[in-house]
Order: sequence, then structure tokens, then C-alpha cells
Amino acid sequence: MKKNISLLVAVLLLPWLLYFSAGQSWVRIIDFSLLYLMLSLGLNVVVGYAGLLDLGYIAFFAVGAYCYALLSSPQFGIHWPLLVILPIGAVCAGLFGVLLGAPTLRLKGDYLAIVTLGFGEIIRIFLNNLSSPVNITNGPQGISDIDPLHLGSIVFNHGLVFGDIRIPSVINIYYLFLLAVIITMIFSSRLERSRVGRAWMAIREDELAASCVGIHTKRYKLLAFGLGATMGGLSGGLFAGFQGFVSPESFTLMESVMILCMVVLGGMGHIPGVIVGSLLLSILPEVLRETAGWQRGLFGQVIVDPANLRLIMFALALVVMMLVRPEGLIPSALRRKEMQHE
Amino acid sequence: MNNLLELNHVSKRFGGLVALKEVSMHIPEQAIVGLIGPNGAGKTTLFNIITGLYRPDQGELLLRHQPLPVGMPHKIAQHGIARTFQNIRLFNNLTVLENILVGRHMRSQASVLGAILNTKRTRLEEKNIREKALFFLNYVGLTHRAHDYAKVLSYGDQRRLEIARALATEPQLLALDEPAAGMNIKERNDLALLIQQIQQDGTAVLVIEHDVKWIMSLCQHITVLNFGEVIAAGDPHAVQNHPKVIEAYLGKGQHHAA
Repeated sequence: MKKNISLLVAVLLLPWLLYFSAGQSWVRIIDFSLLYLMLSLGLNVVVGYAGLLDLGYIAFFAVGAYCYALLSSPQFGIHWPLLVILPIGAVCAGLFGVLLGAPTLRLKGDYLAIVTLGFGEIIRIFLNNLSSPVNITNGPQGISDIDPLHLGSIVFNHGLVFGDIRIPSVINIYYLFLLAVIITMIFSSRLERSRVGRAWMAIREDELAASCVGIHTKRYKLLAFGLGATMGGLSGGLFAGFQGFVSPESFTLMESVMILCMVVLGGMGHIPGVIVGSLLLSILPEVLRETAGWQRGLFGQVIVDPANLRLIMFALALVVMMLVRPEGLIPSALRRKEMQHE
Repeated sequence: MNNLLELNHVSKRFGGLVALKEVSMHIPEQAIVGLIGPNGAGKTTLFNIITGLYRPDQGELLLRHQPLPVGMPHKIAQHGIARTFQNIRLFNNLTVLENILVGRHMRSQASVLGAILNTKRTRLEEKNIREKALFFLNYVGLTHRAHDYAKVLSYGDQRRLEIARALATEPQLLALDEPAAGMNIKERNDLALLIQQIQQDGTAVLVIEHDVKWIMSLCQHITVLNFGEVIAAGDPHAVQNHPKVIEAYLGKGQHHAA
């Protein structure tokens, strides 16, 4: 308990420390990494628990983001409150999860991955082209001027002033996202240890044996797709409100792969692993960005573009991980035992 | 004695191959029934039809005179037929206890909402699931391995765990596909005792086995399949001396050798 409280205090103080030591942009990076963390937790339900390899997961993030964008921007002149559109976005994404999951129920492994990859791309291409004949998504230009995240008169995207204390916007957002992450985390850890979570894991281990103990495997697979997508949709809504702008470009295949890497790197099916994996992989690229300056100092020019360096590092990290620590950075105790037995 | 399960004229074809031809058999309540036959006789196919993995092309299955849904394993399990597999299928990356907890799935109700909100009902149910799982763990004598990984168990223990997982669904009929395969004599005897215990506790058992001697001493009733057809059925002694059975196992013209 004592450990938990000190952890909580550390997490609450973190943005202030960063704000005063490294500056606002780093707090912003952490804000984004919290969104990635939510996405990883959602994908962890699908891939980690139910064992369904989903390569199009970013589509649900997109659905959530576009729901928010369409329902609170000048695009249609609708400006609904946050507490209405966030759930709508999450539910919409969940429905898409079930809808896209349904045709894939008979598929396994690589085949499932290919089909979900296709679905992910289809959603992005739809968003890109739904600008004519009726303009819904505004095509590749995306939707801008999205309302900020706000509850009544509290606007999270602006700094808040309490007496003498001024809380900068990035820190407001941090706390809001942290709350969402904690809720998602509680949900998924409770699911993990429940009858539902066990049914998922049984399906992951052996679908046929699972159905022979009375588990309706199709229903539970759809449930995993739906719940995973719901978490992605929630994260997407927060993303749209935070950015104030969405366009199809943010939802490419590379993003799906990235989130999958976060789940795999940290340790599939284990929440602490997923946390470490997603924080590491979302913050690392920003650190690499700094290397441009170092390169210039060392060689007088930028030899490797940081964006490419990022991909090289990812590939390298994954290869090394698979060789040295296939169970992930922080696997569950059991999984570690298993991998070492082999 | 009343019949628990009845199969009437069940046929199954795979392309040009007739795997089962008009097979009829019955399993009395609380009996141990053996299903034997040479390799390729159709034993496992019949098993897969009973447990819903295959759909029969023809024929009907009656559980206590009610038609059984075909081709839906989870529905069959809910009707009270549990099974094990010829090549053990455990949830390898779950612990021994967790394997049995999964077996309690259809005897519990907690939904996503219940789990997320962690309601009092869910917590009570979870406690009950654990108690029952520990009971079945003890039943097959694996309590000391509860927190080991299913994968690291010995072959014999894996078989027992698979039986415990099936029993955890509280079936009326337990179907065991070659449970004694690869076991030594002591393990076989222990397994026979376990199966008899299961019968005494009120569950009918259907067993596929190659070891004729072992199954003759275990079962009250035996059905013999050859080339997809029932060639003999009845009590062990009668079956053993049936000319067609001797022919199937030893070949024609070898009667004097049997």
C-alpha cells in the first residue's frame, strides 16, 4: 500500500518536474505517450488476452477521433459536450470492432493479421475519400478547429488559474489523460482476472479445447475485438480534442505496427509490461530527435535522419528482444517461467 | 437401465471415404462404455460427432430422448457432455488451477459489466469457482501442483488435469479419447480407479482404448467398430469371443490362434 501511494505521488508530480526541468514540450510528449498507453492497453485485450493478431488496430483510434471531430467542430456546426461525445466515440469504435471482427472469426494467426491490416487501411482510405459527393470527413485536409477538451467552463487545453497557482495546459491534459488511463487500466486488470479474461486466455491457448468446455468462442472473440476497440475509440476522442485537428494521415499502418510493438516489447497480456513498452516506444523517438543536433555537432551535418534512425532502432530492438528476451521486458512471472523452460 | 445417450444410424463421409456407416449405439446412465476397434475404424470420428466437432451426414443423436444439437461443441458441453483429446489439449500457458477455473466457465455467469464493476455477486461467484476448482484438483490428486504451469506436468498428470478440467463442467457423460495411451502399468491402474470413482459419483464414461485387456476389465459394455461399422456390441465377455471381432483384430482363418 505504501509503495502504491508513493508511486501515485510520483506520477502526480512528474509533469511538474518535467515542466520545470525540461520544458513544456516534454510534458506534451508524455501526454501523447499516455494516449499510446491507452491504445496499447486496448490492443492488449485483443492480442495479449484473446491472442488475436490485429494489425489494423489504429482504425478504431481513427473512428474515436473522427467521432469527436465531427460532433464538436464547425464541420457540421455541432458542438456537443465532452461527456456525451467521448462515450459516443468509444461505443462507435466498439461497434466497428465487432463489425470488422465478425468476418474474421474463422481466421487465425497470419491470415487474421492480413485481413485486419486490410480493414485498417480501408477505414483510413474511407476517411480520405468521404469528402464527395457529400462532404463528411473533409478528405485529406482533415477536420480542424475541433473544440478543446472541456467540462463546462473548465477548458483543459488552456491553462487554469487557481488563486496564485497557474496550472499550464499540458499539465491539465496530463491529469485528464492520466485519469482515463487509470480507468482503462482498472477495467482491463479486472477483466484479466475474471471469468471473461480466463475465457479469452483459453481461446488464445487452444480454441477447440475452449469450446469443448462450453465457451462460446465466437462471442468471446467478438467481445475482445469490441472492448479493445472501445478503449482505442476513447483514446481517439481524447486525441482529437487535444490536437484540435484530425486528418487521415495520423492513422497509417505504421501506427498500428507501432502499437503492436509496444504490446509485444513490454510483455504481452501483462499490464505492467504493456505500460513499460508503450512509454518506452513513445518517448524514445523524441529522444532520437535530439540526435540530429548531436550529429550536426559531431559531423557537421545530419547523416542519419532521426525519423529513419527511429525505424532502424525499432527493428533492431525487436530482433534483439526476440533473441534475448522473447517473453517481453516485464512478462508475468508465469510467462517468464515458461519461456525459460523452453 | 435407461439410456443416457443414443446414436441412431449415424453416418459420416469425408469426400469418397465413408468414415462411419449407419452407426447405432447407446450409453446407459452411469455406465462405463468402451469403444474399441483397429486403427482407422472411425472411433475418433464418432467421438468428434458426439462432442460436436463434426456434423453427421445422417442419423440422430439423442440425449435422454432429446435431440442433441450437432456441430456446436460449446452447446454440446452445455448439454452435459465433456471430453478429453487423444493428443492432450491443455491450456499450456495457464497454471493447473487456471485450467480448471476455465472448466467452470459454463457453471458461472459473470459478464463483462459484472467483472468491470467487480460487483458483490461477481466476487461471491469467483470465490465459489475457486472452491469448486480446488475440489476437482483434489479429486484427481493434483493439489500440490496447483500453481505449476500445465505444460511442465508429467504426461500422466497432464492426462489427469485434462480429465479434471472436463469434470469441472459437471458433465453427465465424460468422453475420454485414448486416456491410457502412453501410460505405464501403474498409471493405467490409477487411471482405471479414477474412472471407476467418476462412475460411482454418478457420471457415465465413454472410453476409447487400444489395450483390450485394460478396457475389458474396466467397462460394463463395449462397442466394436471396424471400417466405420459396428461389428459387435455387448458385455466384454461376449464381445471378446465374437467371431467378427477376432477376425478384425487377428485376421480371417486365424481363429484357432485366438
